Amino acid sequence: MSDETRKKIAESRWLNWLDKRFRLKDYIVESMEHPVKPWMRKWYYCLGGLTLTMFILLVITGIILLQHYEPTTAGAAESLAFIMGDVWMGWLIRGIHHWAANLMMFLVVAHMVRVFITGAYKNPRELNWITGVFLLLTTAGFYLTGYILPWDQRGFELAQRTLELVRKVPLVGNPLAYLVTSEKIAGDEALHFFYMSHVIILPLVLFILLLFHFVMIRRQGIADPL
Amino acid sequence: MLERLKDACRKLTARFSKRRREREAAKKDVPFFPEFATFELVIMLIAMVVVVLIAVFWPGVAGPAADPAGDFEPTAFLEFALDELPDWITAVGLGGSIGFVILLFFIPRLDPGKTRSKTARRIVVLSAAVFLVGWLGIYGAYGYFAIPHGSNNTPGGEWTMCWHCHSHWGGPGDPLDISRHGEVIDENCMTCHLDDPKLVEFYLCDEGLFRESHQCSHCHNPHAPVPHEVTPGETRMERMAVGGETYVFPYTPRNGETHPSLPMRTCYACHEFDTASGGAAEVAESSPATTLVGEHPPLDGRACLDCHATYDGAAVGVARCIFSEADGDVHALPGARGSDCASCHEITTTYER
Ligand code: HEM
Repeated sequence: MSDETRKKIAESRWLNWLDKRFRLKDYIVESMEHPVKPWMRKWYYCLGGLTLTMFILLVITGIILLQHYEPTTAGAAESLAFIMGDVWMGWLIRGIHHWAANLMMFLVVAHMVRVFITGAYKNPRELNWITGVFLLLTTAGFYLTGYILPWDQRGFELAQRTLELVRKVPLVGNPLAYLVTSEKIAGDEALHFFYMSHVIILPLVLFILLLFHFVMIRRQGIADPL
Repeated sequence: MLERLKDACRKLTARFSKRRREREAAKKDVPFFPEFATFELVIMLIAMVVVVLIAVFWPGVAGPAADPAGDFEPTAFLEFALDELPDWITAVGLGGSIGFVILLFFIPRLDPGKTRSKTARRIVVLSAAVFLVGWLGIYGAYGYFAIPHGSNNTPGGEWTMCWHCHSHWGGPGDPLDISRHGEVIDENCMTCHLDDPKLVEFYLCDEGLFRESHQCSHCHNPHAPVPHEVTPGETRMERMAVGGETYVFPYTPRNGETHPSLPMRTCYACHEFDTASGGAAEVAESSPATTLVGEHPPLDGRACLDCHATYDGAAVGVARCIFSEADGDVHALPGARGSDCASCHEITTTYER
């Protein structure tokens, strides 16, 4: 894009309109002109962005699934069968949600490895790395709770065994498991907890963490190669 | 001529210098918008298309609901690990995972310098490689193997105790010894299904119906979400894909019970439809009790009675009326014989309806 066009955009009416209300013009113009170095234009520097893409896909398909999913032990598997068989394009929506989740898990690890290999966690990006580890844990949390939701044998077993593992932790284990469910064998209470985590708690946590992550990236820029 | 040659040379150098210019440009900074943003957006769009395509080809299945009250059989990797491995291994695994996550938090602390020595670089690449191979290995194994029987609600599946069914360790090159023992032998199915006397009678007794010729796994795919159902693309399923969709079991076992829910097309996998050629004729010869194999042969006169001896309720088929209009010949009473069964009975079974 020529400097001329860029200038035109900077002086455009809509940007000025926005600027009067939000004082964003300088930020937008600066961002547009922000130089991207040649070594940043490699595929492995896109892994973070790709993780975000998967997350966006997951949010969109997740909202559609939410419309039909029933978070009860009696109705979960049936509602999934309904989604697969009766909801228009339901099979595809669920397929996309499933594969995007797997890819997100894969990509977030690949992104972390990229950051690790390029040493991008070094001063002053330590805090962003730590935010990243929390992002990794949150993504894993999504993965775990998501697998439980169909409440097929595997989902049930995963819920049951997760609770059993938590109970085994000395001192705090039992009270923690009790927060999730008072039942010995995972049932509706547990399913509700995992459901709530999957659709409310974890998305909120992830949004907040991503906000920190991106603000820091914006402020610090991408790290120079070592 | 000379002019033309010069022209071609000029074009060629122009092309090379354009390439050089492009290469030079690639080494320069570009503004974020729109140059880099477009690049990133294209990659994001490609990723989305890839996900949609994968989802189109492997959409997954919806399996049955969990049965917490049923036998708590160790069907999943997780359960297997927790139940069968000694507690100390579970504790080490759990402690190791938690330790690894804690270690992740401290990586900036453990590697504080602004630069990296050659050794540090080697350590970084090596540990990243070990981590990736280990992680991908576990992830791949976890995703590749489906749990037998019903837990495979989502696409992919879980790593399970393959050897419980496949039995044999054929060495690292062929871990399940698929070449020789890949088929699940009936005894292995029976380790879990011994509670069903009917199955024992069918398959395990010395004089059992299919003792020699048939194995459970010929028809049932233990990796399918529901054992008697079929999933496209699953191992055994391709073999079943030849025939129709209907469920029928055309044999009449000795004890008068019909086999539950076997797709007719299962039979076509091995038996030829045409009785005159190969498979069916062979089977008819070796086991006269089971003459009806493959798709139902064309019915002619009273040929049905060769297999469906009498109208005794166990016979397959739907009678349109009990009084035959054909040939004025009726069998209103059980045991009476008509002359053309097909004029009243559809060549279908109760399952096919
Ligand atoms: C939901 C998960 C995550 C998303 C969406 C995400 C997104 C991003 C994006 C878009 C970037 C810009 C550069 C790039 O794409 O490579 C980035 C950079 C970064 N990420 Fe992440 N990230 C996630 C998880 C993580 C994790 C798990 C870690 C590490 C444990 C991490 C650590 C970092 C660091 C240190 C940077 C700065 C890299 C640099 O300056 O070169 N992120 N992240």
